Order: sequence, then structure tokens, then C-alpha cells
Amino acid sequence: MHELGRRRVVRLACVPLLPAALLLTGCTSLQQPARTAAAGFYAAVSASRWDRACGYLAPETRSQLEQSAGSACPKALADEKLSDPGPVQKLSGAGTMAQVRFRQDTVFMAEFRHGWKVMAADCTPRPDKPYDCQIQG
Amino acid sequence: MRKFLRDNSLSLVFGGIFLGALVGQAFAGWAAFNSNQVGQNLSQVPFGEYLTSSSFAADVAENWQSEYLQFSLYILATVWLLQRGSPESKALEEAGLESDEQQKVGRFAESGSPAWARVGGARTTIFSWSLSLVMLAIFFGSWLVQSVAGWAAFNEEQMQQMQDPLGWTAYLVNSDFWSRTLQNWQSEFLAVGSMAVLSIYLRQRGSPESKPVGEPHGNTGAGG
Repeated sequence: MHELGRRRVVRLACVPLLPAALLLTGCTSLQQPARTAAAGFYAAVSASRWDRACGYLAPETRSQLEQSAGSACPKALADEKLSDPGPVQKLSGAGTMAQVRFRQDTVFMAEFRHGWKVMAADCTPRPDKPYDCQIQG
Repeated sequence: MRKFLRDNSLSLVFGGIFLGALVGQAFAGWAAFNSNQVGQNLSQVPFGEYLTSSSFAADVAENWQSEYLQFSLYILATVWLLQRGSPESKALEEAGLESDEQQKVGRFAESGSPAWARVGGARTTIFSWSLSLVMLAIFFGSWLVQSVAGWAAFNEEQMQQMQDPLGWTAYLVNSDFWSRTLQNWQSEFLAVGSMAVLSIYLRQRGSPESKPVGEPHGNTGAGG
């Protein structure tokens, strides 16, 4: 909790200072752990370490995955047959949320007390609509 | 001490209720923020973290910018614009910046006049416009803070809903920014306009914002 509080204080320090670089970056350096977690999720998926990959999912996302698949998370995640998303191309973040764009996938991350978790993955953009995500809470 | 409190009671009371309202807003906003977090299946945040969030900063700044815009426009507008019968207006024949003698500047300054009112040149010019300059500076500063904090809060909601975040310049032309801005502006302008008109016909005994109770409706610029 203390670490989370320190990060959020630093996050707002970007707001009143307002140099152009910070405006353009949107203080994304503060969401770098989200990028690391998203990459860690897909690293676990590519290594077929399903238990480890399930640990990266947000609680509600994991619950929805298990409910829709009718099986425990590791099996349900394996059955999704997620493909390699490629390298990270862009990170966007604000507050407790971040969007990690891989070359072939987009992942939405949320910050919880115990770190950044995957809120939605395997997301496809739709014009003028929210992303269509195969895995989401 | 008693004299100090009496002589500064207006600023002290309004400073106190401002702080009280700000604290109240913080707690109410924190509860509303966490309610939304729960609705999005996300974790709630402690109070201290909410105080440093973009959501709180945007909510505070959007109100501050409209208040300072209101007073900035009113200070400047009442130099040239008139309202017959209103104590908020100057006398009908006094529109404009007025003469140096009326404004007690330069050689017309009195013994107790501020130094920059007497000295002339750029300093007198700056001092002559200092109230509106400072109010406008605070307005633009708080509007800028609203734009950045509101941008961050907006993008946080965008990503909660699995939508792309916007860049800052795109947010400046987004309906969220202008909705926050204009909903505050309309109420400020309504309040000022109402005050200018209602004070023509209504009275508050003892207030300098009102004409004297027995002052005719048609008399302009007469304070209580």
C-alpha cells in the first residue's frame, strides 16, 4: 500500500509541472511496471506456464475466464490458444490504468494493491467502439 | 486580537468555509471514486492517494478556473459595461478607465496611496491593472491544471472501458473537457448576471453589495 501511495504521489507531480515532454508522454514512465507485467504475462503464456500466467490476471478477469470456460484458469487459459503478440510498441497510462500495445495485440492493465494485473487481453480495435477482447473481466 | 478578528472577519470566515468545503469535497469525491472503482471490479484507493489523484485535481481545478474567470470578467466588464439601477454598475456617465484624478494616480495620489499609484510609468500601469492580471493568471493556471488533470482522469476512464486514451491536444477539443468547462461557466455567468439585475429591485440592509433599502430602483451605482 505504501509503495502504491508513493507511486500515485509521483504520478500527480507530473500534473502541475507541465513541461511539454511530460504532456506528450502523459507520465507513462510511472506505468512502466504495467509494461513489465504485460510482457511477463505473455512470456508465461509462450512458455506454457499457465499457473504463472493466471497469476498475472486481474481477479475479475480470472473469474470470468473460468466461468465462461467452465474450467480452472490454467486449462481455460491454455484453451484460448493465445498467439505471440510480438514486441511492445507503445505504452499509455493514466492513474490506475495502462494500455500496452504489442505489434499484434493490445492489453489493458489495471493497478491493484499487489501490482499490475491484466484486465483484458487479446484485444481487437473496433471503429468508434470499445476493443473486443477475448479475455476480459 | 479581537480587533484583528473583527477587522478581517470577512476573509477569515470565507477562508474557513472554503477549507471546510474542500475537505468535504475530498471525502465525498473519495467515496464516489471508490464506488466507481468497485463498479469496474478494480481496487479501492486509500484517502491519501485519492488526494493526489488526477480525478481530485480535475474536480478542484475545474471549479477554481470558473470562479476566477467569473471575477476576472466581472472586474473588467464593469469598467465599460453598465446596468441602470444596479449597485453593481458604475454611474451611467462614468464608463471607462476614468481620469487620473478620479483614480488618484500620479500627481493626484494621496499621502496614503500605494507607492506604485504615485510613481507613474510602467509600474503605475501594471498596478492599475494588477487585480485583473492576477485573477486572469490564476484563471488560466487553474484551467491549464484542469486540462491536464482532466485529461489523465478521462484517459483512466477510457482504458477502464477498453477504449484508446487520447493525447492532450485531442482532449482539449473533446466533449469531456468542454462539458466540465462550460457547466461551470454557465453557472458563474448566471450568478453574476442575476446579481446585477436582482440588486436593482431587491435589498439587503447593511450589505455593501446592496443599495440602501430606501434607494430608488432607478439610481445606479449606489452601494449600501
